Amino acid sequence: MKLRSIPLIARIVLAGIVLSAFGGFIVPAGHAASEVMVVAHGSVPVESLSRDAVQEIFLGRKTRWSDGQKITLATLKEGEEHEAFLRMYVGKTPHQFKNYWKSQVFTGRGKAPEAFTSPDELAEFVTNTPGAIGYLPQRAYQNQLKSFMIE
Amino acid sequence: MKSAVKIMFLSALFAMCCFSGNARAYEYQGVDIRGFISQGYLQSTDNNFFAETEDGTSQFNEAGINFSAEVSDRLRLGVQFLSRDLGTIGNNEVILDWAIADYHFRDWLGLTVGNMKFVHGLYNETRDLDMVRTFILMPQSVYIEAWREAISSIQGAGLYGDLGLSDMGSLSYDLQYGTVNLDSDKGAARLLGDQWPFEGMGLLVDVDQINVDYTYAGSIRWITNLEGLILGGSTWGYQFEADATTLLDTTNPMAAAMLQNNPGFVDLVGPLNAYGARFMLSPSEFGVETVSYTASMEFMWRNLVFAAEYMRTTYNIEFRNSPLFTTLEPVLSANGVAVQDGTIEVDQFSSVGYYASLAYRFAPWFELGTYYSVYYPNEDDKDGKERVAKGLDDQDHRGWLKDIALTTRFDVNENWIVKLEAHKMDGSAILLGADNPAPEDPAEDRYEEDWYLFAAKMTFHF
Repeated sequence: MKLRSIPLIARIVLAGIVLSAFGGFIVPAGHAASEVMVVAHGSVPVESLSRDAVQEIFLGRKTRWSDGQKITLATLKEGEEHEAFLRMYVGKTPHQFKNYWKSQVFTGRGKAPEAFTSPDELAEFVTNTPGAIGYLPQRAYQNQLKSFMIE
Repeated sequence: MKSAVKIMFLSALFAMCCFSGNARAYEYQGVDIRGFISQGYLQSTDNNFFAETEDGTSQFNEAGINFSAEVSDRLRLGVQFLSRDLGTIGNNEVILDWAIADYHFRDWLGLTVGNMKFVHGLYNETRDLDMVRTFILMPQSVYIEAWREAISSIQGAGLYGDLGLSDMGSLSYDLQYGTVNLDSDKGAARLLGDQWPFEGMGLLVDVDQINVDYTYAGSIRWITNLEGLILGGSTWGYQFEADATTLLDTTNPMAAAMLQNNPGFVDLVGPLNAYGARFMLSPSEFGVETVSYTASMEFMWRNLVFAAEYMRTTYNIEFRNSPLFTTLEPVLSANGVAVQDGTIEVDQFSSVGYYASLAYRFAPWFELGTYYSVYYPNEDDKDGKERVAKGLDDQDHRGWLKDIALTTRFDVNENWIVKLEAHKMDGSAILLGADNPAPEDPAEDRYEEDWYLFAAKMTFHF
């Protein structure tokens, strides 16, 4: 069978590329950078963290605090704070972060972090879960939870 | 029994899809349950790509469901069942994809026992997971479809860990040792059958059984302190034996001549087999040792992902069939094949493959990707002339495959993904003889050098 005998599939592919690429350019890709702070349960025996340490924690490469306590991750599902945190501290986009954890889960390498719809839910989880770490909008939650200096 | 397992598997998956709502893992008493179903369509202009793609085929799907639980702070148990189909490979039989007990001593040392995903390159562990990558078909230079089952998972034990390197980033490692179940109807067996060099003489083989002596795999990844850059190296090795039915095709003029001119050969010929003018000969054995090395790099910058990998695999193959080879020694010697103690050793050879890929996410719902992939089954015969001279193939373009791919990925919502992909192919390496039988008319070409392959795939996951 020759190529010209199946033009429909080729047309669909090309149309998809052109339309979607055009669509992609007109959807605003950027978001205003939000100020986020890294927060943790009061039992966490750390006062400051490096950016690399935050990245290792949220990618599941560092799983315990210095006292042996298990690290439990808390993340937001979406939103500006979520995007800003991942960009600033994890070096991934929300899509890349989600894919990373899907890969871990579907290959038996790890358990996906807890994901919350609202910052309030995340704050409550971190407050009540020993060893938990998460991130929240700085303005709204300052002084409510233990927060870190990021070096 | 197999169909009962298939029905149970699909029922469980369907139920989970219904109950899991939008994209969330289903959790029951501390056990996380996740799954996916992909259905694809393949169409090629020429050549059958692991299925009857020339006519268009929807025998191209994958489905998986996994259960995992943290039994304690350090111990995790998990299992994934997988069903897949690609032409005659898989046929939607439900297999145990992975089943592990994982004890995490420290971040730098963990122990996994059971059936683990096989480490190779950057993406081998996730090659069944359509939803985590841009492309439908992985670059065939490094992720050859025929080898897929052979390097999908490994039964044994593995060590893994992450080591901090301070200002240098961090290092992840994996070491695995064990064995693999290789079925005679899967791609690796067919690829092995294609290595048999005597088809032109009317001597045919059908691989019946593969016994793997050992398998190992190792991988190291350096997560550099340059944001988004990962460099990696991996290796794997195999030793296995295969038993093969050996047949004489008397319609082949050379086979007919051998029967006439070699006293004693007639005595070796057994009964007519079910294929027609093919007679049973004494069974052959294959001995195979293979070692592979892969160098990898991935660079992520915002919505852009660039990856490049290079793989080199060395093969040592010998064929054993003492009665047959001893009797035919004069004929084989005249064709430049040395027989020693009923064994023929193929000169060591290495395949090489490399690719570079680029993917960009333009919007949360749309991603565009492309790659260029090159594969040579024998690095010393990149123009394929030698394999034609040796009678391994009639066409020199069996000596390479160069693939330019273009993919669009649409994330319809958090659960559904649709992908469309086009490949411009130059060469016919990796295509299996079993999928592309010799045409009845000898004047017709068995394989086409320039061809196109189109793929469409839809995936649901939760």
